[in-house]
Amino acid sequence: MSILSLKNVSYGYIDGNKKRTIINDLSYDFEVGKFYTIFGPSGSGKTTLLSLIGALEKTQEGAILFDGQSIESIGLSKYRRNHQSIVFQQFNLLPYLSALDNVINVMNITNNPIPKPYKETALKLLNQLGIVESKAVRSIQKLSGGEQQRVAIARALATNVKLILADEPTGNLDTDTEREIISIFKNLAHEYQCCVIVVSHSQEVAKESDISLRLTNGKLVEIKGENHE
Amino acid sequence: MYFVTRALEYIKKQKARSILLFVLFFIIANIAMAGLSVYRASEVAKQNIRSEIGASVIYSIDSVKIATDVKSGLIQYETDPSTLVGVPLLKNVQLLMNQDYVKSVDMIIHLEVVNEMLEQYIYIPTTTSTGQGKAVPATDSGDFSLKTYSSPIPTDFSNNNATLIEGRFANETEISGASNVIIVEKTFAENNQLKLGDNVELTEFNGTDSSLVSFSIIGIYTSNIVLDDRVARTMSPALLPQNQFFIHLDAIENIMSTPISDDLLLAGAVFELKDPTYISTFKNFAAEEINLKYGLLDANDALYNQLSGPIDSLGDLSGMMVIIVMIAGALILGLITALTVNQRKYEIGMLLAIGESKIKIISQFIVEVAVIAVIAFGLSVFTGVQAGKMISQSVSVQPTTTSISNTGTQGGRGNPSRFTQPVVSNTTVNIEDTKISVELDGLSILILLGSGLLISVVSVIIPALYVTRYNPKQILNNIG
Ligand SMILES: Nc1ncnc2c1ncn2[C@@H]1O[C@H](COP(=O)(O)OP(=O)(O)OP(=O)(O)O)[C@@H](O)[C@H]1O
Ligand SMILES: [Mg+2]
Repeated sequence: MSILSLKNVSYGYIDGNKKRTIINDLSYDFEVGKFYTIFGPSGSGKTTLLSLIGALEKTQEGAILFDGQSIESIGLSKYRRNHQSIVFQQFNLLPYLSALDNVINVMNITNNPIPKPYKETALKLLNQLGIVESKAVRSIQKLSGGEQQRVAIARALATNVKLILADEPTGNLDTDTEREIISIFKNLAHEYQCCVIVVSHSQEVAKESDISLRLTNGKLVEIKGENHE
Repeated sequence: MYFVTRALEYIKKQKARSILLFVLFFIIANIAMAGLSVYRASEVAKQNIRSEIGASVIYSIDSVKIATDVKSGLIQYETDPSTLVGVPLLKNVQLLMNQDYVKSVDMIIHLEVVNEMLEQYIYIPTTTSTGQGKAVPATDSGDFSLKTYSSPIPTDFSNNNATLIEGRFANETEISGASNVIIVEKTFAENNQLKLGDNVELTEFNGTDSSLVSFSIIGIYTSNIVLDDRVARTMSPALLPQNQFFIHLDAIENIMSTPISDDLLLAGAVFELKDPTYISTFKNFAAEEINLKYGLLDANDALYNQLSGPIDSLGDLSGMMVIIVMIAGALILGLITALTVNQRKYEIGMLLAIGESKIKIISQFIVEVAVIAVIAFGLSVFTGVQAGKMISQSVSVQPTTTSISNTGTQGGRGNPSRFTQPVVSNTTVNIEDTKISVELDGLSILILLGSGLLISVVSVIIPALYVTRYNPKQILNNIG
């Protein structure tokens, strides 16, 4: 059963006085336990698509269903709070909070049941992702880019969501670190039964994914998937 | 409530911004606090002046207006003043005295009385600068004046124009029995070798010698009125304080040739109100009930205005100062927050992306400013009062003793003269007690803290608008 269904979704921007369609009558079903990558040329609309899935933007036509319910009927803010977690290329964390407090912050925002005490849970999650306590209490500005991305992923785990989105999460990282982050995403899909959707230019990432999707002419096309293997 | 934690962490981490905000708030708060404390102090000082001047209102005939109207022919010179509208007739006074807030009323009638056997006090000019025209009063015949009182203590005594040095005022039995008891002046008593218990025989100026009425002396007083040389020389000798006797209102009929009627014209009436705050209510009531065309109600307004004038402008100035500083502060703060919020758009976008509500984001921004505001304003409670003291010291009213005397100078003989003698009112106000004392009460502090919070909220309205319009997707677009 698909956790996320896009049904005839369209989206465009008004450029001057004519409308430019970026996402065009797109339909696709995403499932839990799978690691998806989306690639495509710059300007093809990957970020736009991700922002629609993450409810940062409203669809103009069509519908996005989460567990069979349209996200608009769930409420966009509530959906963002309780059902998805998004990892950006940067600016994922509040610079004035420690890594630990960034994770605790999101635990206070979400309505998903998180086992208390928050601090122990958060430290455990961070530890699983390789952030030891001495680093967790540091100001996040004193963490490397890779470490910051791990904290952002820990934050996603801390909300107990099944849908994890990422927009070029390894864009600023070296190959080794990229590989580590990718394996975490893969693990999330396979061990935690999440649906992980990562937008990336990187071949590395595409190679590791279960299903690779190309965004062309406003539509998603599977390049490699289980059914093609 | 985690937004409060975020706000506190933000304050801690953004030290430069926090210190800048604190300094700004502290300056605003001190100026505002100083202004407010001076303002409050000036209010208190004005109240003090009011109560120092007292709650008495003098009702008298408006002789200036009558003179003007006689000149312009609006009224005849011969007109009986008691027929003029608004003059202090007995019935008018009785109408006004029935108000709850009137504590007592002193009704004053001037009556010229004679006794050729008694020696009259003669004014000897203190200066001879006028040279040869050294006017020796024309008569030393026994012309005197009677002044009535109807309150337990005559107004002249309660306002220190006169001091009782021996004896007492009329007691209740004497008042109800309209006994012929009299209070005389010390110099007069000495000149005529009179003492307490002796009798003084008097007759109304118009009466015949055969109708001499005897009054028993129950009190001896001295006058505190220092007459201006020029005034004293032109004044009818009968009206000199030394030639004045005090008898109770109820005893005046014993010597008057005509009985007292409701239409009797009083020389004046002094209303003592329960509190100075009733003065304007009383004046308004009087204006409604009686058309005060030729009457005058005066609560020592000239003195009050003279004394409160500088304090008033100080109060206005400080009030203005508070308002300007508050507005300027809100604007500067709004600007600072507007500038910093632009640097925080990623943060806002990220918070929105993880599902934080807009209200909580705005609340966080408000808390970030309000915490600093409360600390700065709280500290300024101590420093601002000091600043206020410094300001008010440099502008402060010097301790003075001011007195305004409005002494009747007209006093001819004959019947109509009775009305032209205004009540002698002389009020001495000691300003030592009314100098501005800068202190802050709980209310002022509350007002100030409230304003501090208000400024913080107002200054966050700009970022608040920013947040509500913010589209979280922009965080994705602005990257890379
Ligand atoms: N707010 C906007 N207003 C107008 N046009 C926009 C807006 N945001 C994006 N676009 C345009 O829409 C198109 C798709 O943008 P999008 O950011 O989704 O591309 P992308 O596939 O993520 O590109 P990249 O790989 O460079 O990140 C681009 O041509 C872009 O210029
Ligand atoms: Mg993009």
